[in-house]
Amino acid sequence: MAVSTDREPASDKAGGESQGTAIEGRSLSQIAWARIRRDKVALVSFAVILLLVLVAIGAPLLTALNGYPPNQFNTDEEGLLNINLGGVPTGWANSGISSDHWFGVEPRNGRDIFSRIVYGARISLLIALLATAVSVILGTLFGVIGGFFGGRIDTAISRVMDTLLAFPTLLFIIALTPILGDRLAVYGLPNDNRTRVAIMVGIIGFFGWPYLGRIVRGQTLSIREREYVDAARSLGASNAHLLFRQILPNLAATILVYATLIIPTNITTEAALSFLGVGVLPPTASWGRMLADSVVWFYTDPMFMVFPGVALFITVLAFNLLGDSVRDALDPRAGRG
Amino acid sequence: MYRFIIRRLLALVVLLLVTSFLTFGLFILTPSNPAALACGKGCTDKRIEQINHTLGLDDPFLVQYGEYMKGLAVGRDFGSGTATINCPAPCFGRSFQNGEFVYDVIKRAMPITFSIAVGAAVLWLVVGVTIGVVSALYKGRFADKTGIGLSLIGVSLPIPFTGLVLIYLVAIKYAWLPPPDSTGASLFKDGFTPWWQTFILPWIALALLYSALYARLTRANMIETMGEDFIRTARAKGLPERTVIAKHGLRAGLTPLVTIFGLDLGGLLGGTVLTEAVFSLQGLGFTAVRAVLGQDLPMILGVTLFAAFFIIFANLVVDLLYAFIDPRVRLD
Repeated sequence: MAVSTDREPASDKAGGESQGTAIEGRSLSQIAWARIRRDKVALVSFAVILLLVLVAIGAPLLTALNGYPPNQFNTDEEGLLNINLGGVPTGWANSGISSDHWFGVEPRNGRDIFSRIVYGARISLLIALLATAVSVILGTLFGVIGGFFGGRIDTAISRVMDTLLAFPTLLFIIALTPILGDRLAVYGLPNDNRTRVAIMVGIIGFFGWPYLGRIVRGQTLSIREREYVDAARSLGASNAHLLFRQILPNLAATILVYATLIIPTNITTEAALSFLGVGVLPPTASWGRMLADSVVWFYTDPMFMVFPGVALFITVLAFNLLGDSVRDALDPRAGRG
Repeated sequence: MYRFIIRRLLALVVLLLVTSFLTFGLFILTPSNPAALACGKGCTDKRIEQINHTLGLDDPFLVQYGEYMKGLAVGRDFGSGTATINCPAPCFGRSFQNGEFVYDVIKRAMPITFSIAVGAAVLWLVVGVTIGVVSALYKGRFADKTGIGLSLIGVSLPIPFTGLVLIYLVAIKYAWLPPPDSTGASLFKDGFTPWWQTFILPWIALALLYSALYARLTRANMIETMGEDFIRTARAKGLPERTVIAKHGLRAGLTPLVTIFGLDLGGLLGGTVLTEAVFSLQGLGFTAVRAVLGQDLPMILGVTLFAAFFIIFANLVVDLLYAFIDPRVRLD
């Protein structure tokens, strides 16, 4: 996707066919970049994602700004919680929203919801992005190997992918996460949140790779037979050269599209695990966990579920929109221009 | 044709064996002592040993696996002597927590999951395919843009959030429906009204997500189909547009959906985990999550196996069905 900036205006003009400029060859990545630059939805969703990433990275700064660490109980704050109503926050819609607590506070313990949303973005993006990286690495590796070498290796890899795809994945992830935590604890790893996050990244990433692997394998099969690969092979290129210089660069677009589309699925899975109580360990802030906590307060403090829910929705939507735009932009069959 | 079916049935058995073996591997992974869990507080070492023997946990892994598979096929006995309990086939094992046969629990949970999955599937097929077809036929126009915009929002709706919002608005704030639980869950015992009142919100929550997916799939397939040569031929021989769409376009455009629909439905029949958790419906997914939280391994194993069976079986049905409706597929 690296395109020197001084060429873009020229390619934009060529797309409009307004001037009698010389016809210039354009690579797919140049066309895609030009398309994305004109796609308002893609730009907005990219901006939203960028903002989310900044929020996640700068979470400590943001909570320093409002002065409420995410796990701090604010029970002794004067007039914040209504003790007579079992600790429901005071103020508008029993949410505790005020100039101090921008998104309100949690019932009973008074933790600041803005701080927890900000830290929840951290967990959500961290797990989703790392798990996606695991899926992409495994999927590309096995997909390329299967597609390129064929024969028994391919059969074996394809069988493994078929089996994994026939698995009740979510059930398995749910069952495996706590068990793996206990097992690692036996080997001396602390059964704390850091281990849990690593386990979630590993498991979610592991069960995601066959989806990408199948697509990469199919693409490799077709690229392997292209003329330029034949040409390189007839010139005596090694397998390593063919794999890394001929095939992988041509897979990049496909991998990019599917990686962007795996991310929102992983965000949802993390939220689901935490919602079901087998995800990140308390008191770590997670949007899924907050949604689960909000159920009890349905009748008195309905705003409690709105912030984590909307945060989850916006994040997933932004990644879906961006993935969609990137796919359209990279589709060579779509109308050029 | 028969050779194909037999070959696929054999593959199904192999896949089931592999899946069950991997799932059974959970038993070795777990460090917690099931006997201690089953025995409770104030348990002596002697008693634990006894329980280990009764549950067969002192056998090597492969022996345990073999026993389990035998139980699935012909049933098995737990314990020995006078304390023997017979678990008839298909025996998925006994719960560590209350000694109930896992298969009995599955039988109780299955109708609930079935109601959720099938009802939602009908809803999302009707809504999703309609939106998809209309969008494809009016490609680039207002209807298309609205449909696609809505579907992008739909696929981004997380079930825990949509579910909670639906419960809050429909069952609590406006109280159009009773609060969700499993009380009216049986169509035959409780009658039609309590049944649909129990399941309508889960159906909507699931259908919002899946309709959006199916609308996008249908649209893409239909656009591709309507650009094919045989559609041009059909138009060229003077068929009215309505016939071209209904007889030629829809058939070819919707065929690819069969595969995905079969797999989605198979996956959901194995447990609509999140939906059941949000709406407190005690189906297979709910049972599985409760088993995980209570470290009830036989229950986890049984439900996961059962779910895997549905997915693998759905794969088989889809392949056969596809060969049936798509004349281009040759089976031999």
